[in-house]
Amino acid sequence: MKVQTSFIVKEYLRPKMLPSTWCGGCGLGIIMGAIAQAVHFKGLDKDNVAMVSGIGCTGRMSGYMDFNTIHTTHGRAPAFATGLKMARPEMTVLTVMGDGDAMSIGGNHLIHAMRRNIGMVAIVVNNSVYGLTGGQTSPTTPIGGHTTTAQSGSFERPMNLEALARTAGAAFYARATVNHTASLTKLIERALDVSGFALVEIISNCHVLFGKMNQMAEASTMIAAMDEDTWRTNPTLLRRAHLPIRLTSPESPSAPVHALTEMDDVEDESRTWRGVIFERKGSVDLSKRYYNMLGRIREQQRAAEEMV
Amino acid sequence: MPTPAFMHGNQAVAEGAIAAGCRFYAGYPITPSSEIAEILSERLPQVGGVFIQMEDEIASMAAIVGASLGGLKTATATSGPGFSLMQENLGFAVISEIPCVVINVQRVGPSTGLPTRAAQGDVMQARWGTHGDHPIIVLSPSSVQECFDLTVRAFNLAERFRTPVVLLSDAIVSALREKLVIPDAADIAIFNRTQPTVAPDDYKPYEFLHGDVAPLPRFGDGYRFHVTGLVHTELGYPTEDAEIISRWWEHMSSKIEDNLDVILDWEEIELDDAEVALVAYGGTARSAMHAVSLAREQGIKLGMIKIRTLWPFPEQVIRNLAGRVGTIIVPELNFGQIRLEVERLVAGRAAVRGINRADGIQISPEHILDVVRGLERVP
Amino acid sequence: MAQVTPGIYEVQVDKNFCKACGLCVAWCPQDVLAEDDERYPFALHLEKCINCKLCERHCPDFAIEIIAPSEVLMIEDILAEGA
Repeated sequence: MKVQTSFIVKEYLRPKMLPSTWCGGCGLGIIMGAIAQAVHFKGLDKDNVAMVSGIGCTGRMSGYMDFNTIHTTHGRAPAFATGLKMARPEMTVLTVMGDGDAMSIGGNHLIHAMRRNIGMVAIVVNNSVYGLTGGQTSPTTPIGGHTTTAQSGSFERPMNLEALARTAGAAFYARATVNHTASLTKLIERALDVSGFALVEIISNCHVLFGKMNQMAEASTMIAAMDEDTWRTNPTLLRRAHLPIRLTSPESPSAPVHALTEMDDVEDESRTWRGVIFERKGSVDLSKRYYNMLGRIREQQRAAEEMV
Repeated sequence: MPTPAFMHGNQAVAEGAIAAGCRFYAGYPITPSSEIAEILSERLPQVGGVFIQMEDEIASMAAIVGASLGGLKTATATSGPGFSLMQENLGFAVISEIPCVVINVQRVGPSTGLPTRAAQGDVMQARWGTHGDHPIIVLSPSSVQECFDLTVRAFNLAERFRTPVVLLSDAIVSALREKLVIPDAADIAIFNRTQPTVAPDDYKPYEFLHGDVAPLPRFGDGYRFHVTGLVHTELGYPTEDAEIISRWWEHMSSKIEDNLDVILDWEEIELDDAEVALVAYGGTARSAMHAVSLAREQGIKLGMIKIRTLWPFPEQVIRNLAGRVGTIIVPELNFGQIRLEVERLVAGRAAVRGINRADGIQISPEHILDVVRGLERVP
Repeated sequence: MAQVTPGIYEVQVDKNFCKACGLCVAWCPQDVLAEDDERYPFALHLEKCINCKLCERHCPDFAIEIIAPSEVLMIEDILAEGA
């Protein structure tokens, strides 16, 4: 019999830990629900799923979900997850990070996890701000966005995670928002099918800090803006964006990434697309390749023993 | 049959790790520790283990904690600057009580310093390097044989007490080549972390036991517990309850403090009739031992204590020593990190002197002997 | 497309979980939901509910649920299998 969505979700949560410490209306809860549904629809066994998170509001997610969970240090989640995946290649590893976590303090770990193509689904929750510490500028704060450390508007160029992922060697990149919940779940399901490093960037809302400082103090206003500010990918034209999102500043200058991407078929270069942005065919997870190598070494050892 | 072998200290560490059951190594190259990684990159795949070179030492430390939760015995090796980078996640391993071994082959100076020369400047970094108060176990080998033996012991203690253990080697013993005897595998005592016998619903991953630790299943075994760097309850959930937190602290300190008989390790050499005693550890203990035999040849009543478990410090051993000799000399390749500890424990009941240098040159036995003789001239 | 019969559904709000953020009210396409004095949601026009579950899907705290009669669930089951 078909069950209610929330019933499915609660199967994957730790009731003793809830309700969450997140502010009312925070998109993180929506993302948590989407992860639970994706894991459920993929038919994965909770015992065989690990969630590794970093620090920040997003980092708290691992405590709420009923998997094998590690709430690690700031930015280091991909490195912990790499160790775990290499030790237990049969496990499904979900690495959950915020934008500051993944792109600022943990940038190096993220780059190298993508370069190695280690098998995990990396969920980067991008809300353009440091939430837990009080609304400071993050690596994805759009130009002109107001934060507690950019009182007159941020003047730094935001990180282009998509271009970074493409060049570093990620196997899969999708972008979703907490507004488009059905596709959010579907994209996580798609990522779970990937052998290798699958990154899902999820645009989320921090209306309490970022929104309040940028004329979007209501969760609903901010989430609604995601519909206006993102475009669904056209499957016939593999288009891609320059900037993660520009909730506040339509004048944001484009990042100079022409050398890295084919931009010919893109009409509006500053658009932020959602959907599957790219997928590398024939990708094989590092841990799988490593254990294949171990198998070959064992065969050689056996052959050598037989010779003796 | 025990196998005699001839190897350098770093190789003995690598072989000790394999013998102890280490099946996961993550590291980042740094002089003078890199041979450990190089050797393990060949040896681990031979025994079905994982070797991975990470992007930096922060990630190396993170990876060995992650892999340890996957059920493997794990290690990383580095030197002072890399050890500093590891401190963040070393603290994580302490608070989340994840067994792992960190090998620090010490070199001279802060920052890049003198990368190819030996020092013992990380004694206090090994004790207090990570932020916040914390228990830790630190072992220090002084020979190639001890490199092997103490590496095995480091893994056993890590598994037994669910804690990171630091093997504080130095560029003297790491590059030294000498004979060692590798025991038969059956004769090497190995401790593996205990496994829970209760049902998953009754399992408390961080049970606040006095002087003991909870079993630790691997991820994927059906226990689905939460691991966090936050101060937590017995179930691993974050807490701000002062009563729970004080019980947690009590557990954390008692698991080490109540097991000193198992953890502490030292050796007394020619101490019965000694009037002057050396307290030495690591590479410097070699010069100290030689100084003792030179002194005995000359009729000088010199003895020594060689410390193999640096932290927790063998406090009672040093307190007792103060009643037995008039002078204690602490030679070390730093400016008195252990001497200060000895002075604190002796509390004026004996004279304490240091022999200190950190210029890349070892303290020679003759240098130590000169200092001992100098003492004799002063009544 | 399945036939939708408005008015046969129930809305359940768990106030232990609800943080009164207003997302469900904002997302309801049928204006079923409204906010009470404390900003908690309640069903003002239950007869208009079409079981689209946009409120459920957007609730970050799993506090709102649309309860459908069991025969409707069975139809959904068949549709889901066919899809």
